[in-house]
Amino acid sequence: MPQIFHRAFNTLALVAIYSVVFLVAGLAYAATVLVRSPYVTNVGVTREQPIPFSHAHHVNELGIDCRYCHNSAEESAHAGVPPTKTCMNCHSQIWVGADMLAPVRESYATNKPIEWTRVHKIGEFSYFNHAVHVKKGMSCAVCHGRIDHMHLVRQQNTLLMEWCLECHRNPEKYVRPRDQIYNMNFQPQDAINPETGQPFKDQAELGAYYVKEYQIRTKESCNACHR
Amino acid sequence: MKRKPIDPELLRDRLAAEQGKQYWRSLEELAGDPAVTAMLQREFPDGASEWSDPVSRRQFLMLMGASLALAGATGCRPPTGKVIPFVRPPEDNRIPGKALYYATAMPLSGYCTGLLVESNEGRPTKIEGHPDHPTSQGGTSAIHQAATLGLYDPDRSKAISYRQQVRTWGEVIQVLRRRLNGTKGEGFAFVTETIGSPTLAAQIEEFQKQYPAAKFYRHEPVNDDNALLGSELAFGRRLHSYAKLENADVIVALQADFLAEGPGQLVYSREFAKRRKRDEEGKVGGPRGMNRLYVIETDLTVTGAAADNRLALKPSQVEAFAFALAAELQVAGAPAAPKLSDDATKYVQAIAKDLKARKPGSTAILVGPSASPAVHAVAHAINVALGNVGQTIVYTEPLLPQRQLAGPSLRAFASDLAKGAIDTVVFVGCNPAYSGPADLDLGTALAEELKKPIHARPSKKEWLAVHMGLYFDETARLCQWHIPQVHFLEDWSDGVGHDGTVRILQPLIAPLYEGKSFHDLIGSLTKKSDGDFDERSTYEMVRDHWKKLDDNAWFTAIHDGLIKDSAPAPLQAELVKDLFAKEAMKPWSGSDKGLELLLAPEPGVYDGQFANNGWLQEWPRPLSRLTWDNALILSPATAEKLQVRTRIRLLRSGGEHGEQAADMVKLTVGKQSLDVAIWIMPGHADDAVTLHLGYGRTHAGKVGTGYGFNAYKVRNSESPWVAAGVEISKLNKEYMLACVQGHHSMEGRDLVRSETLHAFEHYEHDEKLKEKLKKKGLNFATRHDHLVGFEKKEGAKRATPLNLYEKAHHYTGYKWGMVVDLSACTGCGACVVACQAENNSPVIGKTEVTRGREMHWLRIDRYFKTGKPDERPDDPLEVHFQPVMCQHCEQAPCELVCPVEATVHGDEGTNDMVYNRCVGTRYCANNCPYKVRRFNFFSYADYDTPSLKLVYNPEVTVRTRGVVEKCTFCIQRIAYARIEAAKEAMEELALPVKQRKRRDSNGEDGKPRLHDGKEIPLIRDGEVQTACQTACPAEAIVFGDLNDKNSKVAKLQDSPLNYSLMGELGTRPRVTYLAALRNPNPELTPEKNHEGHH
Repeated sequence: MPQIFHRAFNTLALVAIYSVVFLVAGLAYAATVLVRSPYVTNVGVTREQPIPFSHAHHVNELGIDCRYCHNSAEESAHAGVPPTKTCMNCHSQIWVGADMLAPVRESYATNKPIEWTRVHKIGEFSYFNHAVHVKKGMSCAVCHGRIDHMHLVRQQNTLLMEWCLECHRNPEKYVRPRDQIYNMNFQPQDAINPETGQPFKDQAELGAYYVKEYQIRTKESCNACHR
Repeated sequence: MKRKPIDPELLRDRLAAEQGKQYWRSLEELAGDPAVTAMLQREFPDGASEWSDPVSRRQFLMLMGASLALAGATGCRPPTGKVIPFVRPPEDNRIPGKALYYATAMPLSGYCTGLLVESNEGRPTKIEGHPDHPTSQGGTSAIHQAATLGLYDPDRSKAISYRQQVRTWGEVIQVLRRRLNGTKGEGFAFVTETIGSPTLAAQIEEFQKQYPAAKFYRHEPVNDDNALLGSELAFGRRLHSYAKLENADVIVALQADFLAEGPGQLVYSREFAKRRKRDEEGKVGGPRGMNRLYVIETDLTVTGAAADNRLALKPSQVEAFAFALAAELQVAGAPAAPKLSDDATKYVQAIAKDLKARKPGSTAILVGPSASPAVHAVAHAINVALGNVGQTIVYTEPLLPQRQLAGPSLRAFASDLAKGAIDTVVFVGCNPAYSGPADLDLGTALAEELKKPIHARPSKKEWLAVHMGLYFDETARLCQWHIPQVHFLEDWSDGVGHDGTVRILQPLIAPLYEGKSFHDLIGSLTKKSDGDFDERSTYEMVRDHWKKLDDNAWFTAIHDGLIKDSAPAPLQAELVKDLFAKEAMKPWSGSDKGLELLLAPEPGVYDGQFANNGWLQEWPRPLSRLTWDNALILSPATAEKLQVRTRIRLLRSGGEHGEQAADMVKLTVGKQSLDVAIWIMPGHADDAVTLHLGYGRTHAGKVGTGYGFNAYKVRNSESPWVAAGVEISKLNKEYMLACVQGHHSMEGRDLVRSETLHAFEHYEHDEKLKEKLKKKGLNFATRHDHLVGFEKKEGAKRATPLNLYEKAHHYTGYKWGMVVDLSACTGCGACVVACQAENNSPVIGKTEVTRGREMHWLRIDRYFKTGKPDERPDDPLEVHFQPVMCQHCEQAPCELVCPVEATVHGDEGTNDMVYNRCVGTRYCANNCPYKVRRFNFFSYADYDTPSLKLVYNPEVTVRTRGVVEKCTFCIQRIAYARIEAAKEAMEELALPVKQRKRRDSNGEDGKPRLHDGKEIPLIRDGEVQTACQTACPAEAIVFGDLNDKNSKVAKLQDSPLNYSLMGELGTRPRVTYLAALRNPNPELTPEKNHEGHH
């Protein structure tokens, strides 16, 4: 009986088998890369907003505190997006006629809210609480990045669960003295170690000190975020 | 496969033979039919895991197609949303994301219950009881809990209409003003629900000054007419009475379901339960000891289930019983006792002896609204004779500003209508075309008026009928005009509670639709002194009525929800002389032959007004465990006599737990008849039947239309609650009822435990026995446990539970646990709806319920304990309830079998569900011995209806198809408390240690506990309260931190009554139960040997 397959098929079969294995592994790897890619996580994507509000200008140049607008960050699960009234506190005095601010004035006059485009959204089923993080020495910058350098806000981090857990497993890498939370330029060396009276050498020393000082028990149980 | 009906002989044999199994849930279970047993053993019934419903399957495929198409369109990128802030921040300093609570009150049949309503971003989402309200004291009922769903009901009428065409408020008011213009109000009539609002009463008075000929009629299907008439008999004038049960050592309830019905039910439950529970000093019932409850009733009610001694009698015999009791107690002037059965005579004698033995003023005789005025008067006379007035029974002037009786008032309306004396009628908040008694036949009368030509009318005026109500209901259909009424959560008003304390009702939300209140309507028809119509806002109306309060007092009243000390002073009521000589003083005679009928308000839909509320429809009724329907309730003996039966339908395709085929019968009462399905209820009186009002709606809305049987069709206005000479003939038809009593069987182990007070006191004094049991790690409730699943290591002092793990986990931080006190639980079911409201549980509909798919996280198992097996197998002396939610086992069987780790253990000992991991294998549910896991067979949650989106609790995930869910111990409330405690603890960092209020002291040497090496801030006891706990009017559920030595829950778990549900399995449940204590009269319930098998 003649052979059905040519000898070359031996090699071909081997190549095929191996390539399937590599293909599957490759696809799996590609999938893990994809879910972490900005295409899915929206990291670094700048959204168009009804008013091109610049955090860089208001925070960095004018020095307005985060809490002036996001005033429930220390109280509530939500940091809060300011009502039109907050804008008008200043803009009824300055830049009163600016074209750029027309939607603000319109909103204030017509009582219709400004519809901002959402930038940060954590996954469904998870409940994040701003207040407890802020009170426990987590700076805005840890999650939101150097918002004081962004003109239009973009998402700095993936907001994936692994990203949450990274901090929940190693809070000492991120914690700060509570009075430095809103200081975007903070460096560990800026703070004095109350134990030694010397500035902290680095984040490791500072983190270890404040995790103890603030008794930070980061929860890793599912029920911390999932309800 | 057709099932045999239950064979009474089989029951008797079984009970005679069985020694161990004393508690049973249904007659089928008791009879031990092997097919039923096999069915009960399945976690999900046959049909539950199949798509037997072609429509749902098609619908599913269609939806699936749509979602796939959507998935293609959006790819995997998350959609971007909008952030919409306020323009101007609201004045109440609302912080986005933080719920606010406002005090208001819910009116029902004229009386108000104080509530605290949770408001999330301006939408009311959850009802809580108001701890400072005398009528609520923090508790609520299922009906209160369901009020938020009632508010957002998409079927509520949304626009003012004229012959179903949309019109405006101005137009309808113009029409009515034209009618009144230049008249004294002749031919103008209002038919209203009971008016409990003082402001409204004053407005009506003002209106009547201007239109003295206008008539006001009252329609209230569930009213207190008989109670008021009874007081008139006894005291010569109408008085309101309420009870103070904390002072009552013995309570006798005659046809009175005081724990679950009427305006005082919540406070009565609380006071009653206080005298049933073991207090912190270990004394049962507090310093005055445990109370004793005798219940003489026809239908088995929540109160009857709580009774220490209960006697089921047909309505006429209950009445005779009251007279016999008066005679036995030698109440002045009481006639000789009427003839009673031997059993009843024994009860009369024993109860009278017990009452006489007590101190004056320490007993209470309570009578329900359906008893005749004479029986109410007898009870007054007994209460006076026993010195209870002012002690346990308080009399005041009638509380409701509307003084006319409901029954006679509606009769007057019907006769005036027939005479042609009315040409304009405005129905407010009532539905007489549906809920009017059959003999008045108001539906037909109204339809005829609508058709009658002008010249046929005596007044020669065109007929004008206006309906104001929440729904476009049966009555609205017979009126030209309809005005949507505001829900009580949408507008200002006021009202009175069961003791007369005035409440202020404040709105939680602006009217969702074009709702108007009766305040608006009557104001718009009344001229002020300046000649203009009164078009003040309802706020101004209520504020102006209470102008005697200064601003400070007024805002305090709004904040508190009540005006302090506004309850009327108690009266010293004097009995009339020769009370028993009065003509009316005789018991309702009933009928010797034939059956008697008792009508009663439905526990869920009440008089029918809540028929469109899915939460209440699907809420298993406390005793019958029926959902979605009412039925004619009768005793097993009566059913046997009538040759009627119910049977569980066991079909291969959908052999369901809950599908009960019930025989249909024709119920004939005088000239009226009704085809109705029967339901056999152990404990119901023989030769009598009970039918609940409120079902058989024809125009209730999408949810409530078409279910059950309309009891009003056999109601008579002369005798609204009882009827004699009722005939029942069997029809050759069956009706499917959805009953959940067979669902989630736990195999009849020692689940519910009850003991007598006597036995418990015996144990308490037996130090030797206590010591012996303690060594074994047992207590009073567990003393008969055989310790399966325990091992006693050599040399060890006590047996320890067998453990799969090397070492049981040691919880160092918070350790959440719950205790349910079965002595206090009345089975009222408020917790079930509270849980549903808090945790966004869906409503699934009757068909799905029959498949055993109901989604309640908390169920209440009802058990009967057979009293006299030799005589009457179905005559339960005791009924017990056991709320069962996820037991949060420390060694949870569900966690081990989940292939995707969707159910895992939290660090504080909670058993958590992670919905986004769940793939729906249902292994966990299969492995759960407590049967507390629920599966979303379909997308039950409503994501689409705009108004229903508002009812969801934003703190809890709305689950979708294909995931398992279950009780979370209200993890969102735990998280809230934990976060708030942590925040406060951070604020206290600068303070010296001693001044820190959030410093925990339950660790070593009074230092804070360490969890993962860190100090935990103190969550004070009571700061985390689960939804079921806050709703419970009897305070039967206690939740807290077991590692906090001073917490209530930790102390209760040390109680000798504490036991775990199936503790022998070694699951170490965090929920434990306190065995129920009953205090029966030894003369009526002979004491068994103390150490006999319980």
